Amino acid sequence: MDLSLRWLADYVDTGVTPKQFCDAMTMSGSKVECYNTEADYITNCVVGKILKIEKHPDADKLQICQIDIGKEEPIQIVTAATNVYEGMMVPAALDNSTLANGIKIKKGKLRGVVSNGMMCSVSELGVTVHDFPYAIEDGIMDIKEDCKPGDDIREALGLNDTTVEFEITSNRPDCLSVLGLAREAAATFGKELHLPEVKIENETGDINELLSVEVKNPTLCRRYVARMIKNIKIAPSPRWMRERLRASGVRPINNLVDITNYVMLEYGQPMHAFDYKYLKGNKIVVRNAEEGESIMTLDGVDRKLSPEMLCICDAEKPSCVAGVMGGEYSGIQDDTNMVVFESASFLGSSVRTTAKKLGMRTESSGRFEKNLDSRMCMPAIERACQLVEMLGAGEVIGGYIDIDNEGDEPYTIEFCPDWINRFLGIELSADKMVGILEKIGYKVEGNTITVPSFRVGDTRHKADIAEEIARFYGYDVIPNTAVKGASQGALTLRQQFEKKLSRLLMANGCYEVQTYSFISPKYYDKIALPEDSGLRRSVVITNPLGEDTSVMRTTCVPSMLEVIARNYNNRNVAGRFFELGTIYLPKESAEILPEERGVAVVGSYGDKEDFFAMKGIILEALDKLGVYGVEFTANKENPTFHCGRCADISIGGKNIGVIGEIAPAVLENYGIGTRAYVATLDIAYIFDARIVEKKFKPTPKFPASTRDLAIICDDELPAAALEKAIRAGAGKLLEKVELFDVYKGASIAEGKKSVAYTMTLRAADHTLTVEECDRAVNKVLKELANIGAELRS
Amino acid sequence: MTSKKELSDLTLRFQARTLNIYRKLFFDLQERDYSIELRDRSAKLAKAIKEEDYPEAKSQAENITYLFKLAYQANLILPTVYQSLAVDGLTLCATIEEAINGEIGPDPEPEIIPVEEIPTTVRKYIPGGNK
Repeated sequence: MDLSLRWLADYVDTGVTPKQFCDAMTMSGSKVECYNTEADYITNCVVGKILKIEKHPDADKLQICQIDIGKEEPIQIVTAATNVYEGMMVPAALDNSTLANGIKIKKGKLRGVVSNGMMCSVSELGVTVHDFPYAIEDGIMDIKEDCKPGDDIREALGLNDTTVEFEITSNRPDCLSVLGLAREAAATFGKELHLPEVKIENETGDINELLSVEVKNPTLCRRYVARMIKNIKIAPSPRWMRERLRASGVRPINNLVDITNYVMLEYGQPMHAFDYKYLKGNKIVVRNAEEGESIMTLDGVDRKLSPEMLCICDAEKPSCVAGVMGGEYSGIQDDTNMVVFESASFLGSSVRTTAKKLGMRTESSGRFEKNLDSRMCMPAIERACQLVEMLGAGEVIGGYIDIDNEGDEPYTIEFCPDWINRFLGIELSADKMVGILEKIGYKVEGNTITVPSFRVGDTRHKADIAEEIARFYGYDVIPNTAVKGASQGALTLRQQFEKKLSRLLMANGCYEVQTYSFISPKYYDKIALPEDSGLRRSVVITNPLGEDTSVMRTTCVPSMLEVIARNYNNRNVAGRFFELGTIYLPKESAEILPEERGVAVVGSYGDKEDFFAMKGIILEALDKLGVYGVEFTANKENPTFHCGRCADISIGGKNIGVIGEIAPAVLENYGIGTRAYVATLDIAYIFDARIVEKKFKPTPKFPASTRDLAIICDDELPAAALEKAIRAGAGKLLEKVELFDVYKGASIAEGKKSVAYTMTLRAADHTLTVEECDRAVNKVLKELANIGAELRS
Repeated sequence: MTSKKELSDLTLRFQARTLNIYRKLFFDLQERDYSIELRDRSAKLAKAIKEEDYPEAKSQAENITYLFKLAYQANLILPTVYQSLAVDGLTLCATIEEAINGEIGPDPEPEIIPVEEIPTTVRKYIPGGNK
């Protein structure tokens, strides 16, 4: 929001410099981005009056002008312009002057004749013919303002206003107006606020005889106010209005359009002016668009409307998309004679949805989508009619049509000065609080605060009132005190679990990474996912940032390999990484949201990394998380991983992830020239499988017996299978079984291996006898025999 | 002719088995004589191989094998396990002996991995849009 300080001065006299103004406003909660003095780029340029014009002796197209610049002697300027005449008031850029776009003017000679400067056109001053309608585009500007030779050109043309740019948050649409900011400024500087006095002197006729308004959707249209103007006289706006519009970043067009824009800036209420002759049936109907309806908007684009969009229609067709943009024939034309002013309030969410669907975000929709105060409709339209009368732009027709669907129930909040003092840590009297609140429009009666209509949107609780007090009391003067009380927030069990998992992985030397949840469908080819794999079915993003981010991932492996590849290519010799990410598994129908599953993915590469190191990381983390009974089953079918160096991770027969060395072909796809290892874990499964309750066993009272077994078995037989058989055979007596030696070589047949286990046997209630231990060992040997393993002899 | 790398791999494997036995003796069986010596000598063996001090390495390998024998005689390890440990120990001693006699070859040529160029693309920061 650009605010003209000259305009602001009409309503509140702050009496401070622009910098002091900006600092104070920022401290009171209206953040100032920057401030600019208009045309501060122009230097040493004054108003000049052409006294005499002579032909240049050596050039047909040049003329020598003697110009009065308010000094004793006139100066001589040579020009090629043809529109100059004696007595003309012109902008004269003198020796060593600067104009728009950094143009520097110096004294010089043109075909042997001295020229002490340059006469300027509008563009050389950085303005347009819209700002000065009497000026011409190509030629020296003929100044028609009240000024005299020697006046600074910026003051003469009104180019010396200061504009302050505010960053207005979406909860304060009331500050998207000069009056809103004036209210804030008055409260900030403790000055009186002078609101404009709106009064229409002459009204003729009755609007109800000329127009009828029907609102068919009172939910989306909370208020609709219409007034009419007849005998329109289209002309340029007066200078003061053009200056204010220009300072606010709005291009002046003509008196009627400028009035609607002026009121929008002044009151924050967007308005629209309909040409009455294009309103079929002399009727305005506010309704939802019908299926298949379309409208040609003011920008000349034919737009298809859908039934959820609200339209302002005449008896036959839509004339305007409510709150967004008018139709082609709804605006002001050169032959417009009678107009209908509309000042309405639409539901913010509806305007936003409509604007987004139509792909057009206008100044108007940007304001309406913040839910404007419907109480502002009437003052704004009255002000517009007053300006019409003031500018002689037409005659105001008597009466108005006001359809108010919102009611006038005020919103109240309990006034608790003690609570506010406690909450803010200050000691401010109730009277002073009332003074602050009343300055910004609140009414306080007893213990009740009535919230002004323009603040109902963001003042719902006594804490909001405390905020109002704090910002005008001064955040910087609130004394520093120690924080009291205890935090009531806490992490959920799942969050705690993930945090612990994250720390455990970090403790194992892994760096945490975060990657995008969206990937390219080509990534599935890069990890050699089979064509018929269900994981290739992904949620497709409607508006992707690019092809590389066009689908939601169904596996985190490609993202991890990207990280490994990037680090490898950046000459990092080794690395361990992990990510606690999310995968998105689509449902049968695209209408149903996908299943979002949390996944932990760990990746590593480097000389010291191998399958067992990765397995160790996973086992360590799961053990510390209370997840026991993890089994690893060899998987030779997963094409992403190296055949024979991959295993499925499961708990109680339920697959919870995969671990393995990445297949060489996949590594090549990523340009990784070293071995890499990846493991994935489904966080939800391991979270459910964890054992929270810790059980403690008493120290054994009876001694244990240990038996060592050296077993010969097929090389292919995994140690896990042997261990399972030993546990099954030894039963309850087995306290611990541990692999302590693996041997292949002399005296061991080809394709076989020797593995040695230590079994610790113990009974809780007696000392084991030799017979009991032997029986257990025999049972173990039987179980081992079933899987083709036998005692080494 | 054995290469340095093959000797290093052989030593590494023997050292791993030695440490497994140390772990079993020390922690499970609470044995405090042979186990500690096994641990210390396996470390000295690895160091000697790395520094190419082959006489020292041979001495350590022989001592470790002898310690295995003592542990076996004390019924601390299975005969079959001792048998394979002894085979590994003697094989290592023989290989080190070859190295002492200068019968050790150079390492095979390392595999040349093509190095990708470092990507020079600069990612453009999109406020609120990178994630």
